[in-house]
Amino acid sequence: MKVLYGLFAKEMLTLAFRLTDNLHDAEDIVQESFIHSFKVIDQLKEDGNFGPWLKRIVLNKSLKKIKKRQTIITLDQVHIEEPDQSGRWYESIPHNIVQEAIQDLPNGCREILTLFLLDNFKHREIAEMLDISVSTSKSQYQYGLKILRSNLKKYRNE
Amino acid sequence: MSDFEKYIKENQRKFDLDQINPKVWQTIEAEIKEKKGAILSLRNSLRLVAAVLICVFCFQWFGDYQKVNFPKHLLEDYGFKDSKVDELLDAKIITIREASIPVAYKGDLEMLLNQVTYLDQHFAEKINKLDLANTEVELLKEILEYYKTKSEILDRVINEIQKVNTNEKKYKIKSEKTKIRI
Repeated sequence: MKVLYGLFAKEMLTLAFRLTDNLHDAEDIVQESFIHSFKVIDQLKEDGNFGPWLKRIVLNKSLKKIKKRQTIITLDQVHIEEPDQSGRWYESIPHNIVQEAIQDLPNGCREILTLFLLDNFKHREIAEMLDISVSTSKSQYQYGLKILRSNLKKYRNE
Repeated sequence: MSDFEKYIKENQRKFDLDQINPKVWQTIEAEIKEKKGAILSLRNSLRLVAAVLICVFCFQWFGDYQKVNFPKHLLEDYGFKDSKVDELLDAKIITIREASIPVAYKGDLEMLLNQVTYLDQHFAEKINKLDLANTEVELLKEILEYYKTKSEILDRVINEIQKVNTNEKKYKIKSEKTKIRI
Protein backbone atom coordinates (compact mmCIF):
# COMPACT_ATOMS: atom_id res chain seq x y z
CA MET A 1 0.00 0.00 0.00
CA LYS A 2 2.80 2.38 0.89
CA VAL A 3 4.45 1.75 -2.45
CA LEU A 4 1.23 2.64 -4.25
CA TYR A 5 0.97 5.71 -2.10
CA GLY A 6 4.59 6.65 -2.86
CA LEU A 7 3.92 6.21 -6.54
CA PHE A 8 0.82 8.40 -6.81
CA ALA A 9 0.54 10.67 -3.76
CA LYS A 10 2.33 13.75 -5.11
CA GLU A 11 0.57 13.60 -8.46
CA MET A 12 -2.81 13.31 -6.74
CA LEU A 13 -2.03 16.06 -4.24
CA THR A 14 -1.00 18.34 -7.09
CA LEU A 15 -4.24 17.64 -8.96
CA ALA A 16 -6.38 18.26 -5.88
CA PHE A 17 -4.42 21.39 -4.97
CA ARG A 18 -4.73 22.82 -8.47
CA LEU A 19 -8.45 22.26 -8.42
CA THR A 20 -9.24 23.38 -4.87
CA ASP A 21 -6.47 25.95 -4.40
CA ASN A 22 -6.32 24.97 -0.76
CA LEU A 23 -3.54 22.70 0.46
CA HIS A 24 -5.43 21.57 3.52
CA ASP A 25 -8.47 20.58 1.45
CA ALA A 26 -6.19 18.89 -1.08
CA GLU A 27 -4.51 16.82 1.63
CA ASP A 28 -7.91 15.79 2.99
CA ILE A 29 -9.05 14.77 -0.49
CA VAL A 30 -5.90 12.72 -1.13
CA GLN A 31 -6.23 11.07 2.25
CA GLU A 32 -9.89 10.19 1.76
CA SER A 33 -9.27 8.99 -1.80
CA PHE A 34 -6.46 6.62 -0.81
CA ILE A 35 -8.44 5.27 2.13
CA HIS A 36 -11.46 4.69 -0.10
CA SER A 37 -9.41 3.09 -2.87
CA PHE A 38 -7.51 0.79 -0.50
CA LYS A 39 -10.75 -0.37 1.05
CA VAL A 40 -12.29 -1.34 -2.26
CA ILE A 41 -9.13 -2.23 -4.17
CA ASP A 42 -10.43 -5.77 -4.67
CA GLN A 43 -13.18 -4.34 -6.87
CA LEU A 44 -10.58 -3.11 -9.34
CA LYS A 45 -10.52 -5.59 -12.20
CA GLU A 46 -7.31 -7.53 -12.63
CA ASP A 47 -6.37 -5.61 -15.76
CA GLY A 48 -7.50 -2.35 -14.21
CA ASN A 49 -5.02 0.41 -13.76
CA PHE A 50 -4.80 1.81 -10.25
CA GLY A 51 -3.52 5.27 -11.27
CA PRO A 52 -6.41 6.43 -13.51
CA TRP A 53 -8.93 4.87 -11.14
CA LEU A 54 -7.50 6.77 -8.17
CA LYS A 55 -7.28 9.94 -10.22
CA ARG A 56 -10.98 9.73 -10.99
CA ILE A 57 -11.75 9.48 -7.27
CA VAL A 58 -9.54 12.49 -6.48
CA LEU A 59 -11.07 14.43 -9.34
CA ASN A 60 -14.66 13.75 -8.26
CA LYS A 61 -13.93 14.72 -4.67
CA SER A 62 -12.15 17.90 -5.77
CA LEU A 63 -14.95 18.88 -8.14
CA LYS A 64 -17.50 18.38 -5.40
CA LYS A 65 -15.50 20.76 -3.25
CA ILE A 66 -15.16 23.51 -5.85
CA LYS A 67 -18.59 23.39 -7.46
CA LYS A 68 -19.93 26.03 -5.10
CA ARG A 69 -17.33 28.60 -5.95
CA GLN A 70 -17.41 28.90 -9.71
CA THR A 71 -15.49 31.95 -10.82
CA ILE A 72 -15.28 33.09 -14.39
CA ILE A 73 -12.48 35.45 -15.30
CA THR A 74 -12.63 37.96 -18.10
CA LEU A 75 -9.55 39.47 -19.59
CA ASP A 76 -10.29 42.97 -18.35
CA GLN A 77 -10.12 41.72 -14.77
CA VAL A 78 -6.45 40.93 -15.02
CA HIS A 79 -3.47 42.76 -16.33
CA ILE A 80 -1.81 40.69 -18.99
CA GLU A 81 1.52 41.61 -20.44
CA GLU A 82 1.40 40.30 -24.00
CA PRO A 83 4.08 37.62 -24.00
CA ASP A 84 6.74 37.17 -26.60
CA GLN A 85 5.51 34.36 -28.85
CA SER A 86 8.94 33.57 -30.24
CA GLY A 87 11.55 31.24 -28.82
CA ARG A 88 11.39 28.74 -26.01
CA TRP A 89 12.36 31.16 -23.23
CA TYR A 90 10.10 29.39 -20.71
CA GLU A 91 12.30 26.28 -20.68
CA SER A 92 14.91 28.02 -18.54
CA ILE A 93 12.43 28.91 -15.81
CA PRO A 94 12.83 26.73 -12.68
CA HIS A 95 10.16 24.08 -12.30
CA ASN A 96 8.99 25.32 -8.91
CA ILE A 97 8.29 28.75 -10.42
CA VAL A 98 6.17 27.19 -13.18
CA GLN A 99 4.35 25.16 -10.54
CA GLU A 100 3.62 28.34 -8.55
CA ALA A 101 2.59 30.24 -11.67
CA ILE A 102 0.02 27.56 -12.51
CA GLN A 103 -1.23 27.69 -8.94
CA ASP A 104 -1.47 31.49 -9.05
CA LEU A 105 -3.88 31.44 -11.98
CA PRO A 106 -7.32 32.77 -11.06
CA ASN A 107 -9.95 30.26 -9.97
CA GLY A 108 -11.81 29.04 -13.02
CA CYS A 109 -8.90 29.40 -15.45
CA ARG A 110 -6.68 27.22 -13.30
CA GLU A 111 -9.12 24.34 -13.03
CA ILE A 112 -9.86 24.37 -16.75
CA LEU A 113 -6.20 24.57 -17.71
CA THR A 114 -5.46 21.68 -15.35
CA LEU A 115 -8.25 19.51 -16.70
CA PHE A 116 -7.73 20.31 -20.39
CA LEU A 117 -3.97 20.61 -20.75
CA LEU A 118 -2.66 18.41 -17.97
CA ASP A 119 -5.38 15.81 -17.61
CA ASN A 120 -6.50 15.49 -21.23
CA PHE A 121 -10.19 16.15 -20.74
CA LYS A 122 -12.13 17.58 -23.65
CA HIS A 123 -13.88 20.95 -23.32
CA ARG A 124 -17.22 19.16 -23.61
CA GLU A 125 -16.35 16.94 -20.64
CA ILE A 126 -15.04 19.90 -18.61
CA ALA A 127 -18.20 21.85 -19.36
CA GLU A 128 -20.27 18.99 -17.98
CA MET A 129 -18.06 18.56 -14.94
CA LEU A 130 -18.05 22.24 -14.00
CA ASP A 131 -21.56 22.98 -15.16
CA ILE A 132 -20.50 25.69 -17.62
CA SER A 133 -20.81 26.02 -21.39
CA VAL A 134 -18.28 24.59 -23.81
CA SER A 135 -17.43 28.06 -25.10
CA THR A 136 -16.77 29.28 -21.54
CA SER A 137 -14.43 26.36 -21.00
CA LYS A 138 -12.58 27.21 -24.22
CA SER A 139 -12.31 30.91 -23.48
CA GLN A 140 -11.23 30.35 -19.87
CA TYR A 141 -8.56 27.99 -21.09
CA GLN A 142 -7.22 30.62 -23.49
CA TYR A 143 -7.27 33.26 -20.74
CA GLY A 144 -5.48 30.91 -18.39
CA LEU A 145 -2.83 30.18 -20.96
CA LYS A 146 -2.24 33.88 -21.65
CA ILE A 147 -2.04 34.73 -17.97
CA LEU A 148 0.38 31.86 -17.36
CA ARG A 149 2.68 32.94 -20.20
CA SER A 150 2.50 36.53 -19.07
CA ASN A 151 3.31 35.68 -15.43
CA LEU A 152 6.22 33.48 -16.44
CA LYS A 153 7.49 36.22 -18.73
CA LYS A 154 7.47 38.64 -15.80
CA TYR A 155 9.64 36.22 -13.86
CA ARG A 156 12.02 36.02 -16.78
CA ASN A 157 12.26 39.81 -16.98
CA GLU A 158 13.00 40.23 -13.25
CA MET B 1 -1.26 23.13 -29.65
CA SER B 2 1.53 25.70 -29.26
CA ASP B 3 5.10 24.88 -28.24
CA PHE B 4 4.39 26.45 -24.87
CA GLU B 5 1.39 24.19 -24.26
CA LYS B 6 3.40 21.17 -25.39
CA TYR B 7 6.21 22.09 -23.01
CA ILE B 8 3.83 22.39 -20.04
CA LYS B 9 2.05 19.16 -20.96
CA GLU B 10 5.18 17.09 -21.56
CA ASN B 11 6.90 18.27 -18.40
CA GLN B 12 3.88 18.39 -16.13
CA ARG B 13 5.25 15.89 -13.60
CA LYS B 14 8.19 18.24 -13.00
CA PHE B 15 5.72 20.91 -11.95
CA ASP B 16 4.08 18.74 -9.32
CA LEU B 17 4.27 19.67 -5.66
CA ASP B 18 7.51 18.21 -4.40
CA GLN B 19 6.57 17.61 -0.79
CA ILE B 20 3.67 15.99 0.94
CA ASN B 21 2.81 16.21 4.60
CA PRO B 22 3.84 12.89 6.25
CA LYS B 23 0.67 13.05 8.33
CA VAL B 24 -1.37 12.24 5.23
CA TRP B 25 0.20 8.78 4.99
CA GLN B 26 0.15 8.27 8.76
CA THR B 27 -3.61 8.86 8.82
CA ILE B 28 -4.19 6.55 5.85
CA GLU B 29 -2.06 3.83 7.42
CA ALA B 30 -3.85 4.10 10.77
CA GLU B 31 -7.25 3.95 9.05
CA ILE B 32 -6.33 0.93 6.93
CA LYS B 33 -4.85 -0.94 9.88
CA GLU B 34 -7.92 -0.25 11.93
CA LYS B 35 -10.18 -1.67 9.25
CA LYS B 36 -8.26 -4.68 8.17
CA GLY B 37 -6.10 -5.45 11.16
CA ALA B 38 -2.37 -5.69 10.80
CA ILE B 39 -2.46 -9.40 10.07
CA LEU B 40 -0.38 -10.82 7.26
CA SER B 41 -2.65 -13.63 6.19
CA LEU B 42 -1.43 -16.94 4.80
CA ARG B 43 -2.93 -15.93 1.47
CA ASN B 44 -0.87 -12.74 1.42
CA SER B 45 2.29 -14.60 2.40
CA LEU B 46 1.77 -17.04 -0.46
CA ARG B 47 1.16 -14.17 -2.86
CA LEU B 48 4.42 -12.58 -1.79
CA VAL B 49 6.39 -15.79 -2.30
CA ALA B 50 4.75 -16.28 -5.71
CA ALA B 51 5.59 -12.72 -6.74
CA VAL B 52 9.24 -13.22 -5.86
CA LEU B 53 9.41 -16.49 -7.81
CA ILE B 54 7.76 -14.87 -10.82
CA CYS B 55 10.27 -12.04 -10.65
CA VAL B 56 13.22 -14.43 -10.68
CA PHE B 57 11.77 -16.34 -13.63
CA CYS B 58 10.88 -13.26 -15.62
CA PHE B 59 14.15 -11.50 -15.26
CA GLN B 60 16.14 -14.54 -16.34
CA TRP B 61 13.92 -14.81 -19.38
CA PHE B 62 13.79 -11.08 -19.88
CA GLY B 63 17.59 -10.92 -19.98
CA ASP B 64 17.54 -13.09 -23.13
CA TYR B 65 14.67 -11.20 -24.63
CA GLN B 66 16.55 -7.92 -24.68
CA LYS B 67 18.59 -9.28 -27.59
CA VAL B 68 15.49 -9.15 -29.79
CA ASN B 69 15.14 -6.00 -31.83
CA PHE B 70 12.05 -3.94 -31.17
CA PRO B 71 10.17 -2.84 -34.28
CA LYS B 72 10.99 0.78 -35.05
CA HIS B 73 7.38 1.96 -35.04
CA LEU B 74 6.85 0.49 -31.58
CA LEU B 75 9.96 2.20 -30.25
CA GLU B 76 8.73 5.49 -31.65
CA ASP B 77 5.30 4.98 -30.11
CA TYR B 78 6.95 4.86 -26.72
CA GLY B 79 9.27 7.79 -27.38
CA PHE B 80 12.53 5.90 -27.79
CA LYS B 81 14.98 6.90 -30.48
CA ASP B 82 16.63 3.52 -30.97
CA SER B 83 16.61 -0.01 -29.61
CA LYS B 84 19.32 0.62 -27.02
CA VAL B 85 16.72 1.41 -24.38
CA ASP B 86 18.39 -0.77 -21.78
CA GLU B 87 21.62 1.18 -22.25
CA LEU B 88 19.69 4.39 -21.77
CA LEU B 89 18.35 3.14 -18.45
CA ASP B 90 21.78 1.90 -17.40
CA ALA B 91 23.21 5.37 -18.01
CA LYS B 92 20.54 6.90 -15.79
CA ILE B 93 21.20 4.37 -13.04
CA ILE B 94 24.93 5.14 -13.21
CA THR B 95 24.18 8.88 -12.93
CA ILE B 96 22.16 8.22 -9.79
CA ARG B 97 24.75 5.85 -8.33
CA GLU B 98 27.56 8.33 -8.84
CA ALA B 99 25.70 11.30 -7.43
CA SER B 100 26.39 12.58 -3.94
CA ILE B 101 23.46 14.01 -2.03
CA PRO B 102 22.98 15.51 1.44
CA VAL B 103 22.39 12.77 4.02
CA ALA B 104 19.05 14.32 5.00
CA TYR B 105 17.61 13.60 1.55
CA LYS B 106 18.78 10.01 1.27
CA GLY B 107 15.58 8.53 2.72
CA ASP B 108 13.32 10.56 0.45
CA LEU B 109 15.22 9.70 -2.68
CA GLU B 110 15.38 6.03 -1.80
CA MET B 111 11.65 6.07 -1.24
CA LEU B 112 11.26 7.48 -4.72
CA LEU B 113 13.46 4.69 -6.01
CA ASN B 114 11.20 2.16 -4.26
CA GLN B 115 8.81 2.90 -7.08
CA VAL B 116 11.23 1.13 -9.38
CA THR B 117 11.07 -1.96 -7.18
CA TYR B 118 7.29 -1.84 -7.27
CA LEU B 119 7.35 -1.36 -11.03
CA ASP B 120 9.67 -4.35 -11.47
CA GLN B 121 7.32 -6.58 -9.49
CA HIS B 122 4.23 -5.30 -11.24
CA PHE B 123 5.86 -5.82 -14.62
CA ALA B 124 6.89 -9.35 -13.77
CA GLU B 125 3.37 -10.24 -12.68
CA LYS B 126 1.84 -8.72 -15.79
CA ILE B 127 4.23 -10.52 -18.12
CA ASN B 128 3.48 -13.81 -16.45
CA LYS B 129 -0.23 -13.39 -17.19
CA LEU B 130 0.31 -12.90 -20.92
CA ASP B 131 -0.03 -15.78 -23.31
CA LEU B 132 3.49 -15.66 -24.69
CA ALA B 133 2.72 -17.79 -27.73
CA ASN B 134 0.01 -15.52 -29.11
CA THR B 135 0.78 -12.03 -28.05
CA GLU B 136 4.29 -11.15 -29.12
CA VAL B 137 3.38 -7.57 -29.98
CA GLU B 138 1.55 -7.20 -26.69
CA LEU B 139 4.61 -8.48 -24.91
CA LEU B 140 6.90 -6.01 -26.69
CA LYS B 141 4.48 -3.24 -25.81
CA GLU B 142 4.51 -4.27 -22.17
CA ILE B 143 8.30 -4.27 -22.14
CA LEU B 144 8.47 -0.83 -23.74
CA GLU B 145 5.83 0.53 -21.38
CA TYR B 146 7.91 -0.84 -18.51
CA TYR B 147 11.08 0.76 -19.88
CA LYS B 148 9.29 4.05 -20.40
CA THR B 149 7.86 4.19 -16.89
CA LYS B 150 11.18 3.17 -15.35
CA SER B 151 12.94 5.82 -17.38
CA GLU B 152 10.47 8.46 -16.15
CA ILE B 153 10.97 7.46 -12.51
CA LEU B 154 14.75 7.57 -12.89
CA ASP B 155 14.45 11.00 -14.52
CA ARG B 156 12.44 12.20 -11.55
CA VAL B 157 15.15 10.96 -9.18
CA ILE B 158 17.89 12.63 -11.23
CA ASN B 159 15.85 15.80 -11.32
CA GLU B 160 15.41 15.74 -7.54
CA ILE B 161 19.14 15.18 -7.04
CA GLN B 162 19.93 18.16 -9.24
CA LYS B 163 17.37 20.31 -7.47
CA VAL B 164 18.72 19.46 -4.01
CA ASN B 165 22.33 20.00 -5.02
CA THR B 166 21.52 23.27 -6.78
CA ASN B 167 19.82 24.56 -3.65
CA GLU B 168 22.82 23.52 -1.53
CA LYS B 169 25.06 25.48 -3.84
CA LYS B 170 22.73 28.45 -4.08
CA TYR B 171 22.36 28.83 -0.32
CA LYS B 172 25.94 27.75 0.39
CA ILE B 173 24.93 24.89 2.65
CA LYS B 174 27.71 22.47 3.47
CA SER B 175 25.89 19.34 4.59
CA GLU B 176 27.31 15.88 4.91
CA LYS B 177 27.04 14.01 1.61
CA THR B 178 26.28 10.39 0.86
CA LYS B 179 25.57 8.06 -2.07
CA ILE B 180 22.21 6.53 -2.90
CA ARG B 181 21.61 2.80 -2.94
CA ILE B 182 20.27 1.62 -6.28
